[in-house]
Amino acid sequence: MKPSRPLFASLLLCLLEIGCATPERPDPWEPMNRKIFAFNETVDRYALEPVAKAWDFVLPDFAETGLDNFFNNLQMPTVFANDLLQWKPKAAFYDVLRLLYNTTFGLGGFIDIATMVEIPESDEDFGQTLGVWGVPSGPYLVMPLLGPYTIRSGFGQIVDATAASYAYTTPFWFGVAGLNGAETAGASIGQKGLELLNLRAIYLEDIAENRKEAFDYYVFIRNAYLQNRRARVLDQTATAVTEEEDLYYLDDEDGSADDEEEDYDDL
Amino acid sequence: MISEARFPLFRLRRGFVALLPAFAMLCGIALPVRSAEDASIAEEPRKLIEETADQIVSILARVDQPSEIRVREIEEIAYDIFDFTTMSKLVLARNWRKLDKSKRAEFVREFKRLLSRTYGTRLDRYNQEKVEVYGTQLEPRNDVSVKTRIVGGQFDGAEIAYRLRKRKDRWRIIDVVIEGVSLVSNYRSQFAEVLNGGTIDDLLAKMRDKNFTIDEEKTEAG
Repeated sequence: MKPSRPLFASLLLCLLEIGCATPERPDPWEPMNRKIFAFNETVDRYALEPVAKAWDFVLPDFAETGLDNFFNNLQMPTVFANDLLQWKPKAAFYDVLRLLYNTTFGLGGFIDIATMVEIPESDEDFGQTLGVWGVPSGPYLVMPLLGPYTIRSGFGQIVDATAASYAYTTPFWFGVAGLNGAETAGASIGQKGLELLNLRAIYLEDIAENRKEAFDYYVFIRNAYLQNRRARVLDQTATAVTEEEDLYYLDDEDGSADDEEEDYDDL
Repeated sequence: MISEARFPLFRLRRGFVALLPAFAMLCGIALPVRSAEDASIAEEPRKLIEETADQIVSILARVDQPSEIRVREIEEIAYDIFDFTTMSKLVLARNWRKLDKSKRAEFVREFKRLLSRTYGTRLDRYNQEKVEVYGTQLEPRNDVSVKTRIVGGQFDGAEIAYRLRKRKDRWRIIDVVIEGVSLVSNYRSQFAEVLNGGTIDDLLAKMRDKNFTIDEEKTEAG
């Protein structure tokens, strides 16, 4: 398929001048994004979800959690690097501690001992680091098979994944196993795939419910993703740090005095 | 002029240094007063959330009871602690003004059902979790955020903030923010999308439809 020229042009324009995605208009590529989203939904319905259901049926819950812990533990070196890049030395220290605890006492990361002994957990990636450095998030982008991103978070993930694959695969594990470059790449895709499948299995019910209850599932996901990303960059997942300044303002503020008395709750 | 422009850093520093005493004074006087006020204002909403969380956890813990009964009890609590009128105004934003009294009443009723059904069905699955209230924060418009954390279960460590507003002398929840995702903002964006391509009657019809489906499934499951 020939890449469409308007799409390419708008991509280029937006990369050059990221200002085209604003808080009021975070999704300038909505028509394209919706198509990719629909494609991903179809793939999920016919491939990922059924496999995840089988996975969930075979594996007991504690095994899924254990596997999830294992993958999270693998992330720790990149979390550590990003804590340093954002100059959070205390958090970086805890990252090292977590990695040590979980890798040893936690049997290779399957048991999250670090949380049990209350070592604070931080969640940083290179996309967030870029955000802390003042790089704007850029437009919302739905990637085929991979789902929602912003330009910034997508770029960040490429950097994180590359760094992690250098740290893990090249010098050590796959060298020992005698794999070549292509096989190494295949293995790391396989690892990501397994991680995704396991996560999908953990959230089977939640995703099914959200899908059913949403008024517009595309908008539901977009809003939740962008809010959550923003809160994580600011390290403020504990409160509402909305970009919509009017979110908590009542539109009839200037209205008559009895507005406050207006009440329909008891109907 | 020129010499000043050549040492912008120095100028900045000097300006900053000059401000320091004033700043220190402000901190010294304003901070303790403010935090004392913080504590007393936030105390009531904090207690409300703590007590409600305890109540709900104890209801969920009665696993031997049929889930219908437990969900109904939780719904009763939700009816009491959420300010559905304010939430409806917030999620509809500019569109609220366009509605007459009867449509407003209809919307609040459907939204109330939607929220309690949605969260009723969900809560039913969770019974190993505890809720830890660990802080409060004063927000603009005299609102208060109560910060909580889930302990145990699948969502261990998840942060949930409740935003409360005092109206008619009662503190009630006007938003739930899960890991930085505001429920009000999320519904607002979805409703805006529906209203973009349709009328308020279309939206109301959709809401009725959803509420009906959720009810149906609950009866089937029960």
